[in-house]
Amino acid sequence: MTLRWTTLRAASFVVFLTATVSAIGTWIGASRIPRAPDLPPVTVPASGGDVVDILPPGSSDPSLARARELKKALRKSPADARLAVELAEVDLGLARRTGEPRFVGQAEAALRAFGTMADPPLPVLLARATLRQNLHDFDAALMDLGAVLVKDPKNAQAWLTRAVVQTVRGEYDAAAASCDHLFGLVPARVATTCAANVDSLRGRAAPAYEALARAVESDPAASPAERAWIGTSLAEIAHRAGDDRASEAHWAAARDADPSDVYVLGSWADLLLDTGRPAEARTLLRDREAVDALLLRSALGARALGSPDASSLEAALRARFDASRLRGDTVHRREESRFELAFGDPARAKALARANWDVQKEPADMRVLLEAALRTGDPGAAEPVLRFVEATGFEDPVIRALVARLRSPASDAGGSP
Amino acid sequence: MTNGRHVLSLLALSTILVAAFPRVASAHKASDAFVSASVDGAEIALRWDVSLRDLDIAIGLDGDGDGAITWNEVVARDADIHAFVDGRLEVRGDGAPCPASLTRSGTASRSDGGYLVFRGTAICAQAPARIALASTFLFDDDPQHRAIVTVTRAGKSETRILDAIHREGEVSFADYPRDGAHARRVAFAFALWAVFAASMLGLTFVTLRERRTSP
Repeated sequence: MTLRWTTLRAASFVVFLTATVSAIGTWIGASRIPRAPDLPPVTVPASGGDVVDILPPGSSDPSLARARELKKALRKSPADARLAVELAEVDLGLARRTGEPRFVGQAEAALRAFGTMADPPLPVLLARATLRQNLHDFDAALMDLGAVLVKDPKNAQAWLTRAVVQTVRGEYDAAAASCDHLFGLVPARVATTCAANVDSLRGRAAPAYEALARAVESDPAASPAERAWIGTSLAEIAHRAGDDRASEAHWAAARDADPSDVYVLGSWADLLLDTGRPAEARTLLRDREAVDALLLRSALGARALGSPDASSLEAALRARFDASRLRGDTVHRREESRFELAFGDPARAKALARANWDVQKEPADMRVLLEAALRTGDPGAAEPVLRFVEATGFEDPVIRALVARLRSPASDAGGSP
Repeated sequence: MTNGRHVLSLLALSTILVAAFPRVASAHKASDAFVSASVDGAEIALRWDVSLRDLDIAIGLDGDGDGAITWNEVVARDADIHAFVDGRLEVRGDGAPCPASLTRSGTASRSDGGYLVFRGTAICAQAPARIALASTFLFDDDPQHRAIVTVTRAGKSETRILDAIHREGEVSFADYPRDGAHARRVAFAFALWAVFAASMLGLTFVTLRERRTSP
């Protein structure tokens, strides 16, 4: 009997406790409502001289003023194709020099009036193809270029842009055919740059390098922009042929020709990181960290050096990728995969690299998928790249080394079963 | 080569090179604006973050062209900024407009740079179950622009991404607790239920023990 009363007392205590705790818990939960989402704090600058934003280098470019003038004029006569094409070209030039993709959007707006036109004028088609290439909409770009070339088979710009898009997609035979059309239409050095670049991706890097070096020697580039372009090709081809010393000299020349070129800075930094010189990579990228692709290299360099700012760079980069994902962007998958591989989740890196491979097939795209496959111990994931390398005879030493590691039976592929 | 032909080939070349560089490869994300709307009854507190870089491209904020935008340069263009943004954001509750006025309240720093923050309150005729936000800001200047809209009510947030084609996003709260007071009523009801359930559990336990101990 005594035992029974003790049990009853214990039971009623448990009942009381459960009810009280759940009531209090729910009450607190309810009082916390509503809770605002996390937003960055608002500050009112203490002094008028406080800097509230730093524009990317090149933003005070005189062509920005020109773009505003053209925009105003186009608003008055929206059907003027010449104005629209000029504005789109000015904007795309600004995008290239500043690394600011907002200008790509501005170019798109300039051409929008002609977007639904079934048969737009040739210059509009050409500008739209370049725009679509910039937006990584390669199918649409090739369609526009095809339409231009049907009407004007001697349009050098269309052949060159087509070769570039085909190369990015890994369609090397088609790209080489496009380059062939350039001989006789443009100076030999331009046609040779196009052809040598494609050849160097098909297992003929050394002869391609020789041919291009010879062509430039007898007929030097006409403008700084062209020097940067040809220098980029020479640097990449030299690297594929295994001569990193020559490659670096060409990167330096390309940078001197156009110090703002984001592509040159990123590729040169990669070479420095790969050859164990992270400090030099960081020096090269100083003050250019507004550009995600360059911030990524800075963060990799900082980590290799064990710098105190490594974790803040990593956090900044993660915030930028999160922001991109929120808006639904998919054009950063290559960079994001590389980031995840270095700082985050290798499985996610693999998924990103795999999705990216369906869209673009440049050497950097091969590399992220090969590295992700190795890290996750899943050689099968790299199968499309392995087949591609086999079929094209691609000879970049870094890619070749990764392929060899994936193929060797005793590969260090994460010790997969 | 005659001089004329030379000029022509140079011109052609410069156009070619602008177009041919495969180089704007995803430098960073394009333009976004961020709208956050907190609903409390018929009042909706709004915060709208607009990129200073977008404003600079549109109307030019960097007065001295030194590549840095100062607060003075922003304040100096206040009238132009308001002309550019005013009326570009609309709020509707259950289909009816909820008038709002937004004022510049400071700056905020996000992962891709500085933003100008506008705040204000939209007043609806009655507490709405559906809230729609429509933006006409910047889409015509930049079709890659997105407005990232977050609507919060009774602790629940939903996000809509507006673009040049879908310029309006609607969030329906019909299934949600309407506000804090409603949520507290729910909490009270739950507490009563918890007491009842726990008592039943306790009674069952005691009865079972009694049965086992009695012969």
